[in-house]
Amino acid sequence: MVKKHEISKSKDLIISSTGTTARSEISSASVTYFSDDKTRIKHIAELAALDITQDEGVKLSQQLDETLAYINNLKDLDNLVSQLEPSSQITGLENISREDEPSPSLSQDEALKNAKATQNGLFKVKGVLNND
Amino acid sequence: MTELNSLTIKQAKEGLIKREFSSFDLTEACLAQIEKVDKKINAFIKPIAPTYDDVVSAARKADKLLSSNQDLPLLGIPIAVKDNFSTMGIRTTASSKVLDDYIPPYDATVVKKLKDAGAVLIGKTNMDAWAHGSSTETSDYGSTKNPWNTKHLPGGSSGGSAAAVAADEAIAAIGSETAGSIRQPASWCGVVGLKPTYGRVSRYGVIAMASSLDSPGPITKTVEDSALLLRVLAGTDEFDATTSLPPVGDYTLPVVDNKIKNLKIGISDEYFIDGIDKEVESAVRLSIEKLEKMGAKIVKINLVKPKYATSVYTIIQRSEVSSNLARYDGVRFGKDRKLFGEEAKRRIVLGTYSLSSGYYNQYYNRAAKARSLIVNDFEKAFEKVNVILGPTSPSLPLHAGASENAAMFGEIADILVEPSSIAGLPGINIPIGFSKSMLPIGMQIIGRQFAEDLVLQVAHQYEMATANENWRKKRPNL
Repeated sequence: MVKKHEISKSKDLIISSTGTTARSEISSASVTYFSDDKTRIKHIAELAALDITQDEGVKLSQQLDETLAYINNLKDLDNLVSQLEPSSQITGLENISREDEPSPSLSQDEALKNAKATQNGLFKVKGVLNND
Repeated sequence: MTELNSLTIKQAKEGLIKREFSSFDLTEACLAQIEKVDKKINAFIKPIAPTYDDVVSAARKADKLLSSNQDLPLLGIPIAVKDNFSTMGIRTTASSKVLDDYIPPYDATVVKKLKDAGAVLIGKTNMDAWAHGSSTETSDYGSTKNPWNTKHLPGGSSGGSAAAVAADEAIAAIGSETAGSIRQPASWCGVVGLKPTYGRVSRYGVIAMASSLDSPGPITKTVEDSALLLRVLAGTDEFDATTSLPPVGDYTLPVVDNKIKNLKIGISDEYFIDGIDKEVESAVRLSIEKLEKMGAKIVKINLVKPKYATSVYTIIQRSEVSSNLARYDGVRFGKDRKLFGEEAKRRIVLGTYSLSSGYYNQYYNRAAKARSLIVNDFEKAFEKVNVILGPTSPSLPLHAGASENAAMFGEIADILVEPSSIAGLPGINIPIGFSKSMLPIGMQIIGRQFAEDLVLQVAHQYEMATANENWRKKRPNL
């Protein structure tokens, strides 16, 4: 486990990262937004639809900083990669397509079999546009 | 006489064809071994699915086909499958409570291919939940233990599959690797694990971890069995648009050939990282000398330090994890997101952060550029050498509990397999001996994309040349 004072050091390193290209890429708004640990984890939890307790939040925040401190070593490579295109895949495959022909698929019953709530042969979900 | 469950696929096939025993006998022997040892190693998800009756009826069916002289590559062979492969009508949890009651309505392509080849699905193996980890300690169904010493970890995420093969609970098993999840547990359990080229084996029906990396592959007792299984599993799939177009190799392994003679084997000192276990290092260096004596040319190469691959992998994988796990909303199948374990939450949090507005360039994009650097690095290396060799894991199997509170346990444990995974290259772990404490040591052989043929041949030649080494006679004491 990283000790408390080390965490805050690594956080400074990443969040206020001074003088590197990374800084110019971070909008000042997001720096402010994430400037406090609690707000940061709360925001991430909201984006990811996770329920996170306060204790979990503290731990996750520390571990996030620990991990960010490690992966920060990629900055060492900035000069080597500046001219490279990013790789999001390594197959070299492009535009794999087929004729749009209908073929047999799961029956409605099979598709619904694992659902916790159904109604009239449909998935039943909580309302998303309710006012309450 | 040898117990039937300890046979290799090749030996079992010969026995079945000669009618020395039936698929039923073979299957019963595996089930008896599971009954005997799985309380100690927990390699299978309980209750074991499929049921006893299902397994036996599949074996009986295979026996019928055998008696009519049907020739299928895996006819009557009991095989265990990692629990992140969808199996029609058979519970598939990926070792997460979120999928505790999930019964897939279809088979993963890998499972379909096994069935079409006549295999008997004997059970679903334990793993790190969602394949997040290198210990199986993140499983919601209890950790698997290393069959060689149950106080130690089997590695992961395919730890259940590797342990099941090492403990002779199955003739062979299927695993999946994102970066290390086949090779590392194979190394820690002393078995053969092959990660094919990304796209060589279909991902359709595999519960996704990181879609640009996930590669299903075989975990077996010998290299020959690995080749045999790869031939069954590999190929394009209309349900997975990322499957590779080049034709599938034959992967036949000739008993005698001169593949090793003048073969250029690249060794990078960067892979003998600071802090590497001394016994692991000396065992791998000794194996390199053996290959040199067999006629190989050892060539020093310099590869990008693996610690950068760990960072690239951590960012890309966790970003893809956060995106892939977004689908689990408990509506169509599975339970509530509240049931995600600690490790899944940790990975979702970093992935969501690295993809979020304002941070994308700093993390994901920087990692994607460094990924290009690593891909180019290997391409340059393969202009000079035919294969690259190194330790699979920098450590011996660690003690149970080692992954607790370690924010990046999985990623650090897999540091030596991450670079080749990021570049989509094939790699195989083969056992090369034991430590003084009787824990297995493994070595990996990496090839260029689609060089499974060469990787398997080199591994096979090494295995044959060292077939009489004393350590190979050892069996786990369970």
